[in-house]
Amino acid sequence: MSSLDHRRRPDRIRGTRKYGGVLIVSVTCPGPIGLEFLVDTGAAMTAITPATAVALGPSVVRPLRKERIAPVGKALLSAPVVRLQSLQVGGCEVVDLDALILDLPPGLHIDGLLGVNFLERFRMTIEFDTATLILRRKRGG
Amino acid sequence: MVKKNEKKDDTFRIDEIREMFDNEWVLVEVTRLRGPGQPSRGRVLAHHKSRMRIARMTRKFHAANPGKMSYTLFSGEVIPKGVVVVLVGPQTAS
Repeated sequence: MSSLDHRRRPDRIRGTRKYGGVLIVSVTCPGPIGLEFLVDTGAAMTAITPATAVALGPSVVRPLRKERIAPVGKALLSAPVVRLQSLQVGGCEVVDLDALILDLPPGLHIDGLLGVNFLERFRMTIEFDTATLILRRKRGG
Repeated sequence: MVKKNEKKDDTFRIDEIREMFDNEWVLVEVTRLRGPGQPSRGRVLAHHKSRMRIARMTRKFHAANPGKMSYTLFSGEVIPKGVVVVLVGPQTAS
């Protein structure tokens, strides 16, 4: 993991609460900015939609592998995994992040899910009352 | 009236761009930020009903313009009021 700077000050990322209360934050990848990702502590891996994968270009089109996933209430299925060059939320960036390519409900106009493999790189707090994701860098991180 | 040699500003605020189209995906070249990763102003590059078509245009734009920033927005009703989202699993996986 690398970060844009090495401050210990927590990064407070203001998001929006939509769709009944879930937290959506703005994410930047090399090129496209302002991608809308749902903060999903119930997703082990970060996920992007097929359209987001296409927009990000050739580096993410070719899957590294397939991962078996266990969605709630559904049978096991497999989904392609790609490696994102970087993914940045506020001032917090993770490079070489693996992400699933998953279709999300078509009426839900979000670009992906911010899963545990991103969030675990930080000490994370969610303030629902202020729609804020707080990321603190870990010691030595 | 635009004077000779005066460059016409073809950029708009993001909220203005959102109002220009109805239920379409819009690809914007970002010309100004209000914070990290937060576009405030830009130039409309393309708009279409198909999200995938705009995604392909985004890829082409960045291939031709490395270092530039883009933003894709949807101009329309995102989800009906009163609908609550619970992700119980992906719709499909390829």
